[in-house]
Amino acid sequence: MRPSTLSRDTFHILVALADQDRHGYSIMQEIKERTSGAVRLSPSTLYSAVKRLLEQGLIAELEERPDPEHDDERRRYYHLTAAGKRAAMAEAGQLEKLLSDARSRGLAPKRS
Amino acid sequence: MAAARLSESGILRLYRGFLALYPAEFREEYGRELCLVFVDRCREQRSPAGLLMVWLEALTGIFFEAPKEHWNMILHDLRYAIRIMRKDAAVTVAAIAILALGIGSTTLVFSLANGLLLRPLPYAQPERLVAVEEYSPKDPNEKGLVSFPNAMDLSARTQLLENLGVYGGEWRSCTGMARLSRFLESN
Repeated sequence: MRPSTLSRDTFHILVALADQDRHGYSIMQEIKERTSGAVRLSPSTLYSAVKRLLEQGLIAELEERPDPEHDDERRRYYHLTAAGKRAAMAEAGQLEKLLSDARSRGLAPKRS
Repeated sequence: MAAARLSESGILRLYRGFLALYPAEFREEYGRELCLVFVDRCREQRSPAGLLMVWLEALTGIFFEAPKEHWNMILHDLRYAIRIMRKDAAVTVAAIAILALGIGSTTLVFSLANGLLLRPLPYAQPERLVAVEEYSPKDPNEKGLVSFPNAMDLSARTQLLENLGVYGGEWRSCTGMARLSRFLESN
């Protein structure tokens, strides 16, 4: 099995951007809500990860804001690139395989 | 409302101060975004405990991430330098040769200055050492070495010097061996 290349925080950011383009605060809010507060990124952790993801081409900064009428013009929006989608799907596949292995060994509840 | 705005600007100033721990490049790129997100998180808090939690998370993040960003910048610069050096080997060799010459000559000059001017002489109380020379009574500009008999006389009679030694870079013939023996015994 190919070793995982995405950290937990990075994967969460990619998942947050899968359904819509978001700015930094929106990414943090989405992760917090989706995980019921279990994963809370600090601004520093978020932007360090964003910088790495931009360098790797897994996300890209939007030229135009999606909703210029209702937000702060100083904010930057990010969206998932095709490479980012592939990386996230590969990571999800690995996690699924791992979960399946754990399930078959009684380490996770069986699917109903 | 004015008080709230004031405290918010104070909090932001304090947070910006902590952002100074980041490399300047990162700060210029993401500093404004970091501040916006931090202020948003502060605004959503309803209690002092919540605000304290936001501060704790923010500071922990900065203290963990800022050193990593510095390290990433160093690695990035190193990779860039190696790529440029490999691209133009002739310029790289010339630059290394010039650097080596520069470092070598600087080391030589410093070694001389250190040995001659800075490092104390390898004797106890070197500040009490003096060199004795002879001047011509006719012309004070004409100075010369102390002759051996004069050195022995000086050694015997001086009240200024605790002791007197003689050295020379050439072989000399000495006369008056009895006086010489006494001089050597007394020194």
